[in-house]
Amino acid sequence: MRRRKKRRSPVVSGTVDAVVFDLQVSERAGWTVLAVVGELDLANAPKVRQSVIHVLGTAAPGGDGQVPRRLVIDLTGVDFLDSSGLGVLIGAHRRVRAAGGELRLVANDQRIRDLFRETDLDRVFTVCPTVDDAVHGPAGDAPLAGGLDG
Amino acid sequence: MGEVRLEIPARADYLGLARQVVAAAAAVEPRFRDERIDDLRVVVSEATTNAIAAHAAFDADERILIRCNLDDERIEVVVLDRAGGFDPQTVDAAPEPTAADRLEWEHGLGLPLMRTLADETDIQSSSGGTTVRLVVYTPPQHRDA
Repeated sequence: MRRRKKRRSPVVSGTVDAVVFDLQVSERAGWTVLAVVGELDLANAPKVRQSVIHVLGTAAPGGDGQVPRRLVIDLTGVDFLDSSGLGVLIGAHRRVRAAGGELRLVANDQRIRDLFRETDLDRVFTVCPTVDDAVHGPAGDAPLAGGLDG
Repeated sequence: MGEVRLEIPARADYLGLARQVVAAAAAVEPRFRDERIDDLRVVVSEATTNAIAAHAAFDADERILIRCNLDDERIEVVVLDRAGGFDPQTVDAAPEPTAADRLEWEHGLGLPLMRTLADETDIQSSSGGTTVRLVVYTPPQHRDA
């Protein structure tokens, strides 16, 4: 594992807050965008896994069901990620590739991006700073093309 | 500061509570930088996740105890479970990122993350359960920040 450089200030509450988790699916420029909001941990990872399986089981936008699925998982709204969340993203990557599709991640929170570096998963995923970058970026599945350093 | 103790059911929906309580305990000490509290949240989540997973395979009715002790330079968190234990030396590491089978490994990142983000990690495990001791210093002790 690699070590981090610098990180963004987090939000830490002194009270016990209600935790919100939400998943939203939309279509954009021929990509399916799965936006995750909340804490991506052992409690919520199965929901993401099920959503990815559901997306891969439905027709691609603008296609006839034969078009390889192109999926963006947008982590912009994720305020906590641990190895359970990383694991479900690895599983999503495997499923999308098996379906002949392509997966890109979106993360702009430094804490989240640091976790990809620390686990060397920045060499596995294509991580983009915005959904725009993800859906309009160059074709190909090369990890981190303009991603974490962008 | 006295000891803060939290006992939770071995269920995933209590993970967020565990993180929040430990983070709030650390935030009592103003010298703790925010990024260190972030590290603490991750390592506590990993240790508690492992405890929950162990109980799921062993006895889900048992509870997990989390103890926090804070001073002006560090926080020590101990996570105890009473599941069947494991040998941390025999846990397989995930393949290299470029390995063909890397995507087959959804698990195995928790222990390395704990060892990377905590300044001290000690795992004692037996058939009677597992004790994970994690120490996070206000400034990191073993890596450049």
